[in-house]
Amino acid sequence: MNNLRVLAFLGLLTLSACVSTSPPIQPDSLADFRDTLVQLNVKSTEALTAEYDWNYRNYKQRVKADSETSPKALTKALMLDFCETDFDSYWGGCDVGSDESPVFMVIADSKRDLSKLNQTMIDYANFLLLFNNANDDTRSSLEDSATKIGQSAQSIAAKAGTSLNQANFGAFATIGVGIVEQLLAKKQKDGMAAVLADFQPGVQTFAALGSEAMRISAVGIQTEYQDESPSLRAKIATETDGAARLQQVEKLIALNEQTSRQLDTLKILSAAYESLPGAHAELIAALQSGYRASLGELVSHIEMINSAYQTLHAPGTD
Amino acid sequence: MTQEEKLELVRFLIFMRGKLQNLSLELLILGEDTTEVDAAEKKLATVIKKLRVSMMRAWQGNAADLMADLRKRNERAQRHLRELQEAKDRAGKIASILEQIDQGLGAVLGLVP
Repeated sequence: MNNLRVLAFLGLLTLSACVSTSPPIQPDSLADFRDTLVQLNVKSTEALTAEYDWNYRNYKQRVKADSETSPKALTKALMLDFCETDFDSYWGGCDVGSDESPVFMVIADSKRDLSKLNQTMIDYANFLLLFNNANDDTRSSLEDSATKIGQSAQSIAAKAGTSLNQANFGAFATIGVGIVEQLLAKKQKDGMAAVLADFQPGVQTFAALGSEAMRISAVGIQTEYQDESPSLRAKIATETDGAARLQQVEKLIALNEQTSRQLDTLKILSAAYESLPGAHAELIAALQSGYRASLGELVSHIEMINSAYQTLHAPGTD
Repeated sequence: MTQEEKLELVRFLIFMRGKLQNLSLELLILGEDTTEVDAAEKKLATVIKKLRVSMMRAWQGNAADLMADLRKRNERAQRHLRELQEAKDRAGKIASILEQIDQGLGAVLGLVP
């Protein structure tokens, strides 16, 4: 009797393996992926906020010290022009090349673009969570989500000056209205792993753009430091009063510490972006093996940022 | 020009600016006039700012030749910096360093739209 039960159980196992050769991915893996992306979004935009704050502070110092530019040029640069468009405004003028936006405004634009890129990846992770257990009830939400991701991918490609094609963006280049049916058919035929694999080139491109944003921000941090530190160093070199010199030394040490900390944070964030394609590949491997993806490298980068740098402020803003 | 080349160029200019800031401080300690070095440093800072903004806005140009040229100019400027410590013809050597920087900046500015 027991032998019969074992045989029946083995038979059921074999049958289920035949019916579903590609079981749904462990939901925990997809949720972990999505949650990590959410944290990456928070931390990377915080880093650009710190760059923005620091630049704005140095800008105000220069205006106060009359060293930013002449009052006439300053007045012109701060004037918004409306160039016969409905909603757009331009700093400094309508002519091509007359963009006079203060650097902190350009950083604000970069922050918005980065946030959009991050949100596209989060939307994609949410799409996968929904798609993993797609049914008639979720079809409409999936269609909406696919349309939103497609529009975002289009906008990001245009901003980055990259062609929205399969080579650069994989399935992100074609995702949109009516794609869900095709993806479901592919899932049915080749499995969920094959669906994710089609998106891998896009994940690589998004990751490269995110990492690049962090490296550009590092250039910004180094520049702000070079704008601020010379006057402190000069004061230290020329100050004759010991107590006053110590005060300047302490300021310079605090500035050095904060600068190094911000550069370290940007370095980790850049590495976190670079590990995104690997994490996505881990999801694909998890689908094939049935085990939960550890997302080890990506998670460890996020944990490093969380534990080492609880706050990220521009120097002097505490 | 790849984004990597753009970043390399800006990083190099930041490196050069740091050297100029150090030179200015050394001159200050020696009691020498820093006006010309400070002016060159300010000019370099303006170029870095333009490139920083352009990089965020996305820009193009041919960086490979420019980087090689800038490196050559930097080597010459570094040699002059070392020679400065000998204190002979200091003014002439500072002028030579600033000339190298000036020529380099002219080439970089050609890249900024």
